[in-house]
Amino acid sequence: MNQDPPYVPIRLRQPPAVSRWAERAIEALIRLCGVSAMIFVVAIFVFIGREGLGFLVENFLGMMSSVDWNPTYEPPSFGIVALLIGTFWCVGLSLLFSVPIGLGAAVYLSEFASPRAREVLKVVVEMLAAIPSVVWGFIGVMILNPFLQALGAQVGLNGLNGAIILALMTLPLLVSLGEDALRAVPDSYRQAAVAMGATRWETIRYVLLPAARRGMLVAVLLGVGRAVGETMAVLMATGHAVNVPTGLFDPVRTLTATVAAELGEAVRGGEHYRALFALGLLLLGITFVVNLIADLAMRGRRT
Amino acid sequence: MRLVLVTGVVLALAACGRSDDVVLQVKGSDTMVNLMQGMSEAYAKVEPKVIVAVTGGGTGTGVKSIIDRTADLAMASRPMKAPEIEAARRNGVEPHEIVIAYDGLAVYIHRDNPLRQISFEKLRCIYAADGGCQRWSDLGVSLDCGGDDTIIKVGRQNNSGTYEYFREEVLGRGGKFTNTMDQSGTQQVVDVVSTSRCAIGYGGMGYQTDVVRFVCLSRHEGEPCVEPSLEAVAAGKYPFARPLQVYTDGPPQGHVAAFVDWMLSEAGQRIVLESGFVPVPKAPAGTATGADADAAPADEAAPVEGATPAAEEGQP
Repeated sequence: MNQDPPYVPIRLRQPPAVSRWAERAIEALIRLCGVSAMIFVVAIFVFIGREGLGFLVENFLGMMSSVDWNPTYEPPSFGIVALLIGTFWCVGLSLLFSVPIGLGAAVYLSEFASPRAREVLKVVVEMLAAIPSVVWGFIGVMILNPFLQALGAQVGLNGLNGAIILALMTLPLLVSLGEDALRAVPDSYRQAAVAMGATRWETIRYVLLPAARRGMLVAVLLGVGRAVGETMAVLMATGHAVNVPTGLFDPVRTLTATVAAELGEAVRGGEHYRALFALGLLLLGITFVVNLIADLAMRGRRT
Repeated sequence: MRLVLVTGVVLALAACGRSDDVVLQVKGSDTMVNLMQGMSEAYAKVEPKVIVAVTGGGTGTGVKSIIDRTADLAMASRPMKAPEIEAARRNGVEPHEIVIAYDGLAVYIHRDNPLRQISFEKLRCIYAADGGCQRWSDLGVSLDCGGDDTIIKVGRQNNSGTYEYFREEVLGRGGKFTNTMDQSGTQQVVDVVSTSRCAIGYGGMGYQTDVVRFVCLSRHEGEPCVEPSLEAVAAGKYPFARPLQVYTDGPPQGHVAAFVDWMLSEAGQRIVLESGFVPVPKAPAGTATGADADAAPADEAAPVEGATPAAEEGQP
């Protein structure tokens, strides 16, 4: 045992220059992996910006002041007001479902469920997150479509259908982030509340929810970001009509679905193509801002 | 353009390495992809040394590829537009149109809908932005879909050839569509119509089911209507049929000409029929076209050497 230490430095010194180079190469590689996310984000902004920014700047006022999205007409019109409203209509409606259910489930998992039930439920919620987008779209078409018609909708493919699908898709995110936020509240808070004679409801309402407020907000914002960017499911479920909705059962069309449906046949480099990239840029901007706010809120929680 | 063909052939040779194979690049209309794929497979038996490579992407893509000279043949489910032809000419390409089949568009409704016939004027009233027909009662049809009879207007996405064709024929040049539910295929149009009793949609003729019905069509109100059928389209009686065409750079030559001739031969036209489209009328070419002024090139393309043997071999 005592003889071991002298051997170690000799061994380390023995393989000379080559290993040092290998060491450096691997270090550089790992560093590259570390910053690759940043490179990708910048590259995506550059790529989409190159195709769409010019168009967005030139036509911004026209796009923002018209509901007529007729990119293949002569002359074309690129009004996106209806598409923007369609997007936020679906996302907003979906929040009406996902926020109470998701945060309610988070409270249950964190405060009420037995450890066993919690394990099972968390696995199930994660499975919900693993369902592919196109399968959700399929559910919208095959199950919600007739269901909504039975409720009196003329067409089952409409804004409400898309919103329900979006709510189901964002639910796992809300549940797990919401639960994390609640469990991050120190147990001493709960103990203090109980010591003061608070009921369970009072503990949750007046102690835990205010303490976990920021974490909950982050969960909701990330859910919004996810919902705004969702494409395939809303393309299939919303009815895909350029339409300013006046009722729950009106078909709508979202920004993402428009890009997905039309990019395939838009002539590369043409006006329509660039307009679709401008939509992509706009979407990127929206999700970027939402995520940034979420990030800032998260930082706020830690201080 | 012979240069283009030669370049294409050289590139193709370089790509596949076999010295005597010729690759013809065909791009364009998604409506025509299956048809052209069928043509390609059958032609491989007739002329094994010629490989016809088919790519979809839409009529716009096809037209773009003939302008860019990246394809030997462009498939188009609508005639090329004036600005496209200008763009081609600026590039030194002279688009040459050959009609290889007809596609009949049908108007679909739910089987519970009592509507039996409709004119283009009424369709315009339903589909145009300024049309004004919002309810089935506006058309004198009594239909109830849960206490309401709002017409559910189903259409195609704005870059499909079908959308463009419907717009041109029904809404008129420069006409604007109202807010339709834009589907990305005729199958989806039919799916929506089959689940919504108050819906109306349009698309290719091959999608009739037990739940949806064709509507008998007339161009003008009060005229006798025509049910969509292959016979009616071929006879030029059906008002809602469009030519499916291919474009070449100048009149086709060499292998392209041989392939085009084979497509117009009996063997090629049999594949048209098998794919659910309507063959081009044989002897007096150009009579059944009606809507399309420039159909004559179809027979211009015919007399080229090497074409006849290919056509005959194609008949089993």
